[in-house]
Amino acid sequence: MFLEILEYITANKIQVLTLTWEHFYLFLISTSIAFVVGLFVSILASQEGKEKLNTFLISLTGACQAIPSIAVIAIAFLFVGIGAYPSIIALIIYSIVPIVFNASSGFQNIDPKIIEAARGMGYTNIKIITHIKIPIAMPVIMAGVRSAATINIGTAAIASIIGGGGLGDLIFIGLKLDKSAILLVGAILTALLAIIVDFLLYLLEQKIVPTGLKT
Amino acid sequence: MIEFKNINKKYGKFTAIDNLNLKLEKGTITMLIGPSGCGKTTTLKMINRLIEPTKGDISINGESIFSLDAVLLRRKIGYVIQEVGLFPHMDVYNNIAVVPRLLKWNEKDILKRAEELLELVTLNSTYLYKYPSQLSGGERQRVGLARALAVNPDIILMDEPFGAIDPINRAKLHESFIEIQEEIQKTIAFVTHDINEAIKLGDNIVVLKAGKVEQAAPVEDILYKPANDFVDSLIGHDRSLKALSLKKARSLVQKKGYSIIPKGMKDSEILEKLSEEKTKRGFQLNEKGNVEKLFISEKGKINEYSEVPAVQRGDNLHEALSGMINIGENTLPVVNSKEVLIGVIHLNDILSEIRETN
Repeated sequence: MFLEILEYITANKIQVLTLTWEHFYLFLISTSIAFVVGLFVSILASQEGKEKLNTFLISLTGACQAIPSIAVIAIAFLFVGIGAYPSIIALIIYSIVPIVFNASSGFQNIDPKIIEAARGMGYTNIKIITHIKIPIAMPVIMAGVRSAATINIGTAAIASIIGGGGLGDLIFIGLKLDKSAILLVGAILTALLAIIVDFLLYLLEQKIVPTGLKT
Repeated sequence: MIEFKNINKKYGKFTAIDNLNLKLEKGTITMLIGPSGCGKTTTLKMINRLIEPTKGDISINGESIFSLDAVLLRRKIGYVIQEVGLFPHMDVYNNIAVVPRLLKWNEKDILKRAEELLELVTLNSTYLYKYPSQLSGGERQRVGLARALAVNPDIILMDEPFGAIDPINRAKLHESFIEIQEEIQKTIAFVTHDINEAIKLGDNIVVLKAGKVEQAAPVEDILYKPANDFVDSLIGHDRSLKALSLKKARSLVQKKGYSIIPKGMKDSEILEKLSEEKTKRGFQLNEKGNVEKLFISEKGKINEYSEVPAVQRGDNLHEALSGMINIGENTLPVVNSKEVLIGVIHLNDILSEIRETN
């Protein structure tokens, strides 16, 4: 089996590389957009006086994590059709959930006294967000980004059924042709991509989480 | 000077502050005290506009604070809250640097100032790069005070700053706080729920209840001339004991009534020296002046003690009296901050102090 897998890869180098790149591209675009939008939403909901909205957002995103990825793909197909574009939309929706869930929980868990001290010392509202809230919530935010990234790469494989491309193509070809070697090439490379991305994000996390908050 | 004029604060129908008129004199500590919900914290937070009054005016040195930008006003007023107020993701240096950076100081000056402030609060520059999680509660509180003093503001607001500290460390913090204030002479508004703390630290006390001032007066007046039953009950029945914390041990230090015993003296020689100098106790000091041993002559014999409890010169009479009661002695040595003997304090002097003030 191992030889068959290697054979397939060497015989179809270009195809395998192209699909891996497509897969990575789907992940990168959708996670980046999800991160920016998700963080923005969480920041807005974390302003004083919006505690109820914040709690609602945490419950909602918590519940949404129970939706199977295939359902999100199917819904995206119903509303925006097929191709890479609907796949990206589905992936954004699916990976924004852990990002908002974690960022909002992170902001909610900051001791209000710290925010009050910051305000009392003369920080502006913007500076409270950039210098206090985001750095303090950073460990939780990064945990959310890492889980979003892993989920995203796994879900991107399924997006192949609505024409998203990527390594999912190999998996579905393998299934159709009953060739487990091809299926495994897709599955193994998807897993490998997820592991590498998670490791890179781990390195990033080590770099940007403030020293005083590391345990 | 901070002045409240006809201040009202309403939350919907609930009146938190009802027609408050108050003056906080320059260079003094004003303690705001009262049961929870009395409006003491609200009053404090109105000074730096964390809370805006519904009606009335507050002025600092004659200038209305509402004519200033709230954010800029806050940078000119030191603010200390319970220990959690330190930013956990910043080290001590960066915590202290917050307001100086907002005011665009250069980093060299900030570092110099931070080192200076750590000395002032009896820490040192080895603390600069520690994180709040690496500090004890007392150390955090000292850093909090240093941070509030960073740009040398004239006014400092303190919201139950020592509330989360254990009693032993709180007493130590009180001592250093009193010493620091003697040096820096700031106008301080200080919220507490502890009457003993209010008496010990305050120059003036403002007693609040349900958003109204029950009495605003110097500490002595609060103790001896309570305006009404509420203030009276707040002080409790041990007024004389509480009043003792207004006076420092150093005011009653006696330089006589004890002998200094050189090292290497025999018991018989010590007895002779004590009776010659007509005293009953002698201290043996080391080269730095720290008390090493205490000799007490009793019935023609010398008792030797190597553990000698002492009173700090900055301790108040209440603490000195507790020290005496703890070990059943009527005389205790008084030492300065370097533990050098400067004299003794006698129980009789404390008792006559009580008789005089009553």
